[in-house]
Amino acid sequence: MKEEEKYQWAAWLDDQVSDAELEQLRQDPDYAVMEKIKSYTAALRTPEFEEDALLLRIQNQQRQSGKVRRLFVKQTLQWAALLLVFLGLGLGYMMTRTEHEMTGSGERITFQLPDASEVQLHAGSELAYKSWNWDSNRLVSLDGEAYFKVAKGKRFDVKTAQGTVSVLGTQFNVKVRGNRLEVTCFEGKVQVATPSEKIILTPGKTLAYDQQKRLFFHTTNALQPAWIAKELAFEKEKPQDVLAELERHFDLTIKAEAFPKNELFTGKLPGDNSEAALQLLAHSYHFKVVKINDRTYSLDATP
Amino acid sequence: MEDANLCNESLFERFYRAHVKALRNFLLYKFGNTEQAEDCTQEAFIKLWQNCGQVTPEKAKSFLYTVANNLNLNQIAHQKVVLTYAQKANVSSATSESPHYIMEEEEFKTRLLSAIENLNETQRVAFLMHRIDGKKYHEIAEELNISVKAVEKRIHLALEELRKKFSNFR
Repeated sequence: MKEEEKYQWAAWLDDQVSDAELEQLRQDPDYAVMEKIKSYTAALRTPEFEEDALLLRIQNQQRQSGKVRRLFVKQTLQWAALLLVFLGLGLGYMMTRTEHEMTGSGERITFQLPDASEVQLHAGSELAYKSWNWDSNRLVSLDGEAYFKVAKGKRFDVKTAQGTVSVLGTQFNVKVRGNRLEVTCFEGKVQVATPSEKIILTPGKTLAYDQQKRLFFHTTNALQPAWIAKELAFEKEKPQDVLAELERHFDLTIKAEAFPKNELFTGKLPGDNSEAALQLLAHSYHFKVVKINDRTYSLDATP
Repeated sequence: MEDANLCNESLFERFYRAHVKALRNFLLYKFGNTEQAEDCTQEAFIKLWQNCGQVTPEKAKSFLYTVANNLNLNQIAHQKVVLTYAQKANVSSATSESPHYIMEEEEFKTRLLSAIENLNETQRVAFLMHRIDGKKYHEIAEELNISVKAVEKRIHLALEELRKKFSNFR
């Protein structure tokens, strides 16, 4: 029943046998011979050799081939330098062209545009603009949500994938997420242009589109967007979008496979307390909140 | 992190000093010829230097042994006695060993050396890497690019061959 060959003497030579195995080997009539082989071979030596002299010979070879190597390196470096200069020029040109501002989940930033117009960017959003020749051409591209306080001047345009918002010295909020565009004017006048229509908003007016079809158009009493004051307001939003907003705003992961898809949500959730916000939302749909860890929650149906 | 490879002269020297003795010994066991062993050692290190940009320090040892393993020589003079026994520091006291015994032991040692030189190459190389360089079986396996079991088998066969020469069972 020899499954795997165990090379006993090899193990013994390397001092890897157990006491029991050793005893067994000692019974071998040639054990004394093996012992002698083991101890004498341990005393074997190889002749000396000149380590340093050999190294010198190797290094001479290195030096010879080194010269050739260095020539090529110099040339390559020169070409690389030239390439870098061109790249640098090109890059510099490009950089003076477009500025970008971005926020990740759970973040919010405030910054100024070249004419001192103020922008507050909500979580998970990106804004780009060209600073060169800004005063004659105030155009920003927005993906996400931003609250603008635009300084008086020539036209100011906010271009989004769902439509363009144009203003003249005003304060307004633009929210574009997926196929939804929502604009609220707080001061001055705002024009919202979509492929199908152009609408002008006066202070207090709020307008929303879903897939470029008008969702609602009415008045609000708010003096600034809810999220600026740490509240998340939703009107006729798909539950999935509300969850996505919470994930973005609080930097969480929310698992909710069974969550309803079509019952639209209208309401306000606290923007400074993630658990309270989740509780409120889940409760509205008869779901319960299960905390998995600090950054992960699950919404499960209650039986 | 450009100079973290062996193209850096001082790193190369450090690597050389750490491995040259064992590599030269390995080639000596293989060819049984000191001059050839040295020439091949030199060649292996030069090849490593030529490829210093492509071989990471971690893979350098394996590269070295691969080159060495593949060096084939037209079989020139296989010298006879390449190995010697280290002189024993403690000279055994005259009382415990008779001149007859000492002579017998010397004869044993000579015959042992001859038997080792007559081992077939793969067995001899593995055996001496263990006995002289003190390498563990897994290290030998790495350097020869074979399994540990294969190393154990070669050692086993070498011991069997040597045993035969001196066995009490004639």
